[in-house]
Amino acid sequence: MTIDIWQLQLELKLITTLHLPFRFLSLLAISFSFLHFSFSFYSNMTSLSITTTATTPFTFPFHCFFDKHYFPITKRIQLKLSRGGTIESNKFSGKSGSNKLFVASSCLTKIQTPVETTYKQGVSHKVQCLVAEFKSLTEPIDRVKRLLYYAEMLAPFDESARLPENRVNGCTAQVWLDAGIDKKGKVWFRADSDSEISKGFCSCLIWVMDGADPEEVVGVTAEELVELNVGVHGKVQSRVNTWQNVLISMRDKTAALVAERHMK
Amino acid sequence: MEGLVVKLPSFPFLSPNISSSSSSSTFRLGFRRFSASISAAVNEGFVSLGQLTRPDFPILHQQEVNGSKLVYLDNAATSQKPTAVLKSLQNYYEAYNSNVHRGIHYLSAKATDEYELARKKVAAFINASDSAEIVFTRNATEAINLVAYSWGLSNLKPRDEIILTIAEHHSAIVPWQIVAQKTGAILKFVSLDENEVPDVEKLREMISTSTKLVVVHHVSNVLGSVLPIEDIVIWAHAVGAKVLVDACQSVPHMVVDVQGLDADFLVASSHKMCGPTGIGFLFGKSNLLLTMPPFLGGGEMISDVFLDHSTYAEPPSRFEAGTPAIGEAIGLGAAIDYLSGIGMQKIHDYEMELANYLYEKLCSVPNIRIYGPKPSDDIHRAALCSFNIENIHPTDIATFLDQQHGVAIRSGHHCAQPLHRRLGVNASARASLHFYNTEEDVDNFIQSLNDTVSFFNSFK
Repeated sequence: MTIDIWQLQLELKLITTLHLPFRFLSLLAISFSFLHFSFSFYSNMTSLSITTTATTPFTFPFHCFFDKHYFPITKRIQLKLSRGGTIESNKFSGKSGSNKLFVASSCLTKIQTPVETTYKQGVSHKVQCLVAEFKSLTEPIDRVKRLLYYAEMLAPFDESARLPENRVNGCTAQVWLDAGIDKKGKVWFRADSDSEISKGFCSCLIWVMDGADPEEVVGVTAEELVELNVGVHGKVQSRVNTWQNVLISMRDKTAALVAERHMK
Repeated sequence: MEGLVVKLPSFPFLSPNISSSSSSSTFRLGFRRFSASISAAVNEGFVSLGQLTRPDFPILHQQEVNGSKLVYLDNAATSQKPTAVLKSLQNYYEAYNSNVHRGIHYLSAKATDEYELARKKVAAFINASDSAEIVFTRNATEAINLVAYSWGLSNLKPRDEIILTIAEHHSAIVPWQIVAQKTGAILKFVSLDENEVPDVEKLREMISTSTKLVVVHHVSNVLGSVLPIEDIVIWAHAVGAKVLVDACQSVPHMVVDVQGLDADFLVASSHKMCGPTGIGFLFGKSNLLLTMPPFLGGGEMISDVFLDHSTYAEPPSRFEAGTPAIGEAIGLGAAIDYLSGIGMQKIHDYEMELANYLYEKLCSVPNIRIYGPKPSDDIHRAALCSFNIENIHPTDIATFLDQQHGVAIRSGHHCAQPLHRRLGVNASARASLHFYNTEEDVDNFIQSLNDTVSFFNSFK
């Protein structure tokens, strides 16, 4: 897979300098395990190239990413590097048996340069991307399939957060939603469900909302996302409309977190 | 089954006309002729009851639901309505809509006649001895609340016991929780036995002199099981307890005889028995209804109103406050006519066959778990199956079935959360049939279900 190096470098600036041998590679390894950031890729290739100043061969574990979703999936790849220069990775396969790690979507074609694909891709832009993607799928069953695909990408849910207060009300499946505000004032979300389709919804919504400003989160309306009505007919808000319930829950939790923060 | 289509002659009762006064007699003649030809056709096995009656239900002939033909298997949630019922509603509003019991003019008299005729039809349908024992309500839930607030609040004392099963519908549980809290009564629940049916023996043991009421379903909307109501009533009456029967899933599908069962209260909803929504009924024995105070207060249920007090009407009017759902009641009457025209025994026999067919076919789906008893010579199941398939959430199954195949089933807890908790699941999928479903519908469903299962398994 090709991860464009200068996108990584953008993010690497956020890390404090670490004086370690094979610094670049170590930072890569550390950054993947500690930080969450999103990449938007504009290519589908599957080879990795990394420059290194290493003088001895070594292997290190590497987590894989999907482009639209910055949650690492649990695949660990061993990358073997030999002396200096640019190294190719081994081929590996994703969970669904395909070699492609990056999702091609109508959204991607709009992105031209890496600069536009920074971490600060706004919520409203992401909403548009998501809506465009689902709108492009004219067969209802393709939408179901796409949701299932996204369901696989959802980060594992921390069992300690599986609490009654994190249950999203009004869904026919069980959905848990955990939220918090990080030190930079951005909202983070994690979700899980026992239904794969609901998981897909959660995955999409989290891609849009995770790491966003609280004002942006609260500003997203159900009307904007009506294209997400996969398997739910009509526009009326009903008990069974999982994604709407999750969206409402996200907004409510964000508002509560913001209020709490202001009180301190 | 062989597909020989019998062309039905059109009978007057299919489009009821109120104009002639002798219409009621031609009505009945029409029934006998109609049912004779149905019997003949069905008995000879040329065509199934489902195939025969399907044309009467316009909604089933939808062309496309998500690109497939509609296969409606959610009858336990609500049934479809035949043209006869739709026409009766239209006819009411076109020909004689007027408020009942109040006016002396022509339209009002006609409306009142038809409304009361509908009441008589309901009484005859469940073999109540007197039509005054039928109280029209909005639905079965309201009927149970009526008993709870009216009979319950005035008859229950602290430490009195109400026996229910854990398989009851929420509508049969929650009103009693509310009333128990107000009166200090205690609710006791009967669990399931090894056949996944409420343990009738345990129920018998639980009945004691403290028991004042037993609330049981006749047919379970999740398990498909049938409870022996006659026996339960005998045991309850022996200690002076009353019995409330939730007959929502039985009245539409089999012969229900309240005198034979000797039930004290019985409730059902019209929308599950091919009638319109917005109407249901409570059957209560006359001597009980007479002692019960009103539930809702207002017009219709009064005798005289003064500023500081009012006197109340006799039952059933005492429990029917305000303008009733007149058109809907008449629609229910028409639904009863339609069902009687076919014959409830015939419907029951056909549905039994379908029930067995559905169960057998479902068993062939890999990794499936069907809830409720296994059908046998002694144990009969209703024509519904709640099930779960390993590793696939029922909502995902229902969504896929709907989106890809146009098959309508239900997923969720079916208003029976305590039961699902006991079964150890959060939700289940449910396919439920009615007499206008056919074996083809079942085949279609099973095929679609297998496709659904392979689809989800391929994602794992």
